[in-house]
Amino acid sequence: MEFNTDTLKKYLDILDLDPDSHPTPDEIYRAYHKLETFYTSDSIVLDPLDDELDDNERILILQKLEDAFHFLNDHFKAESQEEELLGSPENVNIEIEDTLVEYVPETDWEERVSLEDHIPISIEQTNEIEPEKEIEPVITLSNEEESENHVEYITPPATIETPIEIKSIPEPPKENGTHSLENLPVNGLVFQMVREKKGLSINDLASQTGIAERDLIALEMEQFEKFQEAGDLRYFIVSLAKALSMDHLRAAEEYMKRYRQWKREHEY
Amino acid sequence: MKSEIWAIGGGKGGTGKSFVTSSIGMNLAQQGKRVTLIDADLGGANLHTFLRMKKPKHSLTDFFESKTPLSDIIKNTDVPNLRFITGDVRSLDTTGVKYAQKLKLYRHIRNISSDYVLIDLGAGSNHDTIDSFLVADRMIAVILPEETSLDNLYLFIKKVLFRKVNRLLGDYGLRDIARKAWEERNRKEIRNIKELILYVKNISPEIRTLVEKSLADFTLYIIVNQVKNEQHIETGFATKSILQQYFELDAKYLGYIRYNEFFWKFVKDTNSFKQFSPSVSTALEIGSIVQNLMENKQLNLSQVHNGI
Ligand SMILES: Nc1ncnc2c1ncn2[C@@H]1O[C@H](COP(=O)(O)OP(=O)(O)OP(=O)(O)O)[C@@H](O)[C@H]1O
Ligand SMILES: [Mg+2]
Repeated sequence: MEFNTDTLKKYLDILDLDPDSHPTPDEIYRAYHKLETFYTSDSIVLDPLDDELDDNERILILQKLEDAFHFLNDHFKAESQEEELLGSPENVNIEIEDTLVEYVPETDWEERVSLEDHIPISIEQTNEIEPEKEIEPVITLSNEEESENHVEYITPPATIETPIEIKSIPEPPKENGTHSLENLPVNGLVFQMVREKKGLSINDLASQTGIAERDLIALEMEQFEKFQEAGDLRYFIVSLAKALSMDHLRAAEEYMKRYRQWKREHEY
Repeated sequence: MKSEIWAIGGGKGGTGKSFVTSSIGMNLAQQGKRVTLIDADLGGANLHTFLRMKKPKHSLTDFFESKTPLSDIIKNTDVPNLRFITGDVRSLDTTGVKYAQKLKLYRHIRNISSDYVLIDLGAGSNHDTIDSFLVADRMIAVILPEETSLDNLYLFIKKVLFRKVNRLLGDYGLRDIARKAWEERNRKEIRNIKELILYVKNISPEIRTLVEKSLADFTLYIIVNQVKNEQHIETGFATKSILQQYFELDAKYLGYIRYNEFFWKFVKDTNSFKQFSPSVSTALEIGSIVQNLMENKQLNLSQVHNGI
């Protein structure tokens, strides 16, 4: 497994976890959830940035937090799997490590460390993100057009005499009245944000749709490994999208695309 | 060995910057480190009151105007290893002191025979405050769990970023680009400092690399003072996250200090003052902040939950 201590420490830091610790799935989830709640609620820390921290900006940040969650969740899951096999981490023998990895049995470790047993069952979430706000422009950073034409960059002189012309920030697409959230490609995070915007808890949705809370959480967190059957997943998405008054056909199509993509990557 | 400079600022008045400066200084001195405190508060120099001293006669004015060496301006305090320099309004006035002179001051400060030099920057975010902040090895912001305090912190940080990027561009013969862009921000559709930095980065890949490198080695340390409940403690985590994710700075949450009902008793108490009596929770909280600073660590969730 690819391992990079800096990356690991960075993600632990993002979620305020002890850089030398081995957090449990429960601790990782709680740490993630705490910050996630912070970015989707009113807060004295966010309010002063109200006019610059728009929904797009928030979604970008939430995605970074989610990346941290997934990285840590996967990392520590793999770690506990290794421990299970080798007794204590001290026993890891570099010489035999490679061969051992091949013998990973389909034990119940996945279930043992799965979030299902640990996640607090009801997640209260009543805060709304402002629905009235107009869509804000996304600043496009890419230099792609230029770099296609000029394959190599020539080092410019230390001083620039002529005024530099910069393309102005592109106008945001005007989507009269619609909230940006609804126009985003549907993924777990969007489900979560729409749910929170409606002031619904996981618990509320579970009783409304009949989907188990752990499946709803897995859906929002995109824990694709929890869904063995694409058919089940599709059914969940459609029910969930309907309960959230979202376009269920589009939701199913877009979410399933992510699922299939994941499946392809994890096939072997 | 050159001394390490820690600057304590953060925008809003009355958050506890002077208190934190003096307490960190005392804690370090108790541990046997040689410490010099500098009061660089333009408007209301009062660091001496936390040290139970009168305002010294000589100040940094004498350094600038009469070339008095710093060693003659430094005062001993009641605490062994802890010394004190006061600035004053005249000496640190922008018009009075050129940037070059300030650099000279910091060169001299580094050569004071101390392990640590702590600068109390006072409130506000004028040029001098920002510059002092930027020359420091550690930049510490003391905030309160209140909206105005955070508002002030963001303003402070925006100015720090602006100044830092400006200075960096200046070093590469690109002075005024950022300033001009900001002046024409309406036409260029730049709404805030973040977009200004994006604009600057997009000038060329080389500039992008420079700016990113210079911002990457910039860490802001956060202390939340006068906390009264758990939610207040969490303000620090939220602030750190915003600084990291939105302002894209490295930020560390050093810790918090609870609101102490007997604040002045604590400050004036000879015992807590001299020995920094560990029976007082405030002293413990300061202690753990200092430890985090020295070990380059920060507060994490498990510590909060275990009730540290
Ligand atoms: N932990 C605390 N508990 C209770 N009161 C406190 C605490 N910290 C600071 N204070 C109160 O806040 C006041 C301001 O503290 P201090 O002078 O250190 O702030 P400052 O940030 O240096 O202010 P200025 O911006 O005016 O220089 C103190 O006089 C004290 O009354
Ligand atoms: Mg002060």
